[in-house]
Amino acid sequence: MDILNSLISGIFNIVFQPFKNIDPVWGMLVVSFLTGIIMLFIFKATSDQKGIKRAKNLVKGHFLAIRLYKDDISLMFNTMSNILASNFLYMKKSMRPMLFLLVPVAFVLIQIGVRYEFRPLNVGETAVVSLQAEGGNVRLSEVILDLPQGLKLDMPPVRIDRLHEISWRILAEKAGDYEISFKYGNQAVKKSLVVVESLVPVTAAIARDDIGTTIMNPSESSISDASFASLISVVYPEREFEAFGFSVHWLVAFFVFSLVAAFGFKGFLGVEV
Amino acid sequence: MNKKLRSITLPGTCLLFCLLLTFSFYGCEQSKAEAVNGDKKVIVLGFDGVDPGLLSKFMAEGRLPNFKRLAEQGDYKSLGTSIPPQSPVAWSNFITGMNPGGHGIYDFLHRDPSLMIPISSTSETEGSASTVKFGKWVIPLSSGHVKNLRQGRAFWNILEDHNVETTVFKVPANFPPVASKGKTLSGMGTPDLLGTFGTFSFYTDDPPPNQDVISGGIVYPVQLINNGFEANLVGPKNTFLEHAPDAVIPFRLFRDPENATAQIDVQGHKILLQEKEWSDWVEVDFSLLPAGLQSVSGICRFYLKEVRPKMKLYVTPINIAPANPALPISTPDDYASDLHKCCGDFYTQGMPEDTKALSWGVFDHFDFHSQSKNVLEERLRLFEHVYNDFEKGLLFFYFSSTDLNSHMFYNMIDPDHPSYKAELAEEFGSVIPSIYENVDAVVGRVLDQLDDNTTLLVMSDHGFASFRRAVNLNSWLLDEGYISLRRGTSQSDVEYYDKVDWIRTKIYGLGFNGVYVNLRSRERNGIVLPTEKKKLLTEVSEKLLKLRDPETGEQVVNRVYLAEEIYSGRNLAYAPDLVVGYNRGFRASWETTIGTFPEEWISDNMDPWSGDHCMAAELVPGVILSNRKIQSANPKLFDLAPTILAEFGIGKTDEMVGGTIF
Repeated sequence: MDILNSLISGIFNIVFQPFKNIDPVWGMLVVSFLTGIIMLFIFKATSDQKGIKRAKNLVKGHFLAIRLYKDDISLMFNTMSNILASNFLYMKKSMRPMLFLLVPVAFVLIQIGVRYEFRPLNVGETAVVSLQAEGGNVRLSEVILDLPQGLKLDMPPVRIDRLHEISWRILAEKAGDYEISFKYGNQAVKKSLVVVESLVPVTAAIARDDIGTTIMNPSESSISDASFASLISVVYPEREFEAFGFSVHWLVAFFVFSLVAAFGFKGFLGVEV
Repeated sequence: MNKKLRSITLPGTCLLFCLLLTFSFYGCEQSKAEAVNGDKKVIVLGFDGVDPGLLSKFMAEGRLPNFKRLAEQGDYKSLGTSIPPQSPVAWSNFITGMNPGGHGIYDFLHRDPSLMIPISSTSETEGSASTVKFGKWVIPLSSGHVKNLRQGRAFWNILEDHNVETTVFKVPANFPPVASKGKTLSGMGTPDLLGTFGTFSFYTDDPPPNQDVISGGIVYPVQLINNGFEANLVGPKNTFLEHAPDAVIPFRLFRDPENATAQIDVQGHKILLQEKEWSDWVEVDFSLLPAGLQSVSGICRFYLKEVRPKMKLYVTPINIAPANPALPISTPDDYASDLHKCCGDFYTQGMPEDTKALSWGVFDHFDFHSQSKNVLEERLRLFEHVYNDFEKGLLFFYFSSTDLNSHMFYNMIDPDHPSYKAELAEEFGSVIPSIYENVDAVVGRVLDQLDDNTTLLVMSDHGFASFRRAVNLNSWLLDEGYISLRRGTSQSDVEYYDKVDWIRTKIYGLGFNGVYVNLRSRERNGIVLPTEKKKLLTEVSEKLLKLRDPETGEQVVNRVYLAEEIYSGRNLAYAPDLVVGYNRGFRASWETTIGTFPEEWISDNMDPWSGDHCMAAELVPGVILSNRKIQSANPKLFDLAPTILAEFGIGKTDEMVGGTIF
């Protein structure tokens, strides 16, 4: 999984590179547009285009019948059931390409999410970093946090034995892409912490044996199986996303932009949707 | 041109001419309005409770260079306050240019003569008029509403009629904010999410013995198991459920086994705090209906007062979230959320400094000082944004810190105060001067950018004095035989007048300065005939003026005002019959304001609330400073509305009782 994550993250790092230091809306706009257009190609290649067209024409034809024969009640009911049947046909024809789209769109959303759900820390801000130890054998008092220059421990940690968890509050003193290290005996595990004012991916959590966390946080490798830690998380600030003066969730912006692109280009690319 | 065409074009031409004429008149009116408006700017900085005595002293000591500069460049005078000098009354005088007879606010508290209980003077809340029940769920069929009880037009509404842009930030006695074309944010009087003026929560494994009588907050006893506890944040009543239980949000606290640190987990937020540390604002959502169909947003801050030996966690009142206000707190509706976008969360509650927590011993002076510093820092940040955003028209900006810190730290600067302690005074004696220094910097910020087209008014609503002796006015009236209790009732058992024998009571006190005759045909069980009223009032007034403190021999009451001599206007319904103007150093006790009857009629005020202003108006004036010369010999609060209107070339309304000070 880490290899696949690394490959996809590499591609998206290149795609987002030009938008790192400008208003995040532009990165969202371009990536959503590209996604919309690519989705069109995938849809075209994986769908029965003639079948979809036929299903749509059937629906249109039945609607026309309703307008023409609105005085004939029995025909009206008959036509309505035909509309329903044609709709089901249309949905059936769309199912296959949708299934093909599901996986790539999920990867795109994850890649956008790691950039737009949270933002890196700014200088002067603090973040809570937590480590969950594997099982109850790890003595939390012996877990040591090693911080590079530029980051500072803001207060003594809180150790919660019953949750096998230890949390620190870290102050960002200087900008940088840092690696913080957690040591226990002769073991060590590392986690990134980003302090920068640009659009870069942030990894909120890394885990051991947790495929969900690994998929959702593709920019950093998961914790090795032999580690004393099972989960390390950083509470990054949420990114306030604004699209042209409107405060919206990034998911909404993505769907609007990608749908606009898809519908705008479907005629040009000759795709029946 | 044929005849038919001419017959069409002639009326058409006439119509066009008329339209052009109308538009040209409209244009003239417009340009007249613009001429009134122009680029004129009036900036009013409202510093609640700044006292002329303290201000002059600190100016003389060189602590306030900007106040001094303003006084030298322009003018500085005492500002006559309202009768009584209480903030909601005083600020209503300022807002409307009327006395209480015009705006109808006479005290923090009014009384409902049909029920004989104290009620809020400034706003009224009504729930949904009709509901329908589905099992345990109660669905409202109409919305409830909150009503601002202040009468009279706000002066900024009149400015807006003349196209003057207005920004009015947190002026007291403006909740819910009156409809306005400008930007307003409601101030004093704005409730918390529970609908109170501020209810803190205190979670501890060492509940204080007075926990059941604490007002303004609730103590929640907790039990620590494995260095942690689970509890609920208590929110508003869930009126969607039968019997309206409290909406709650569970949270967990874990403390470190050795360090003086703790972690709080609440609604997905993980907050790490050290002892004596405040969290940032935490946004919480109280769910009222399942599946997120209806919820109410609030904000609160956690304060880890003590980790060991006892666990003490304070949570601020749940404030209305500015990003998503549950009640109307601004005009336009999205102004509060706009402020949130630029400045983050902030106290929306009317009186944010938690004086009750200090009064009841939940805070010590250090805790209160740190909380009030949070409030001031937040207010300064908001000021910076609002001031930078201001281009023309009117800007009013309000600061509460000068008032509430004077209330709570006055005993630190008054060695004659019964609760004065030299060691505390050494630590906190500089709080009041430093607050004045902080607002001096605000004055400097504005002065540095002042141009010839801008009028600056720096004002306070009243001054301050030490509150050394608490007067139980109702106990005194009881002793004098004006009030009777039901037979067999002990004086200490009376709460909210519940055991007063009204058919044997002639006169009673309610609120901080008000005295009411138990008048037949007005009060529910009134016994005093209208013809006897004047004689009774004269008799009580004379006795009050002769009152002497049994310990010091000082005169307790400086002035007694007859309502008919001081109030004029159309809103006299809630006016007290007498207003008691206490001497400096004396004030009505907390107990007497709401109808309880302590045994002694006068006692030492040992409450940390040690400074006050609910005294004779002449003894606690406010201040007015301006970059313009003040011509009026005795400027008063109700002069400021006409003055501001005049600065824009607008005449005062007939209802306004004051005049311009320039």
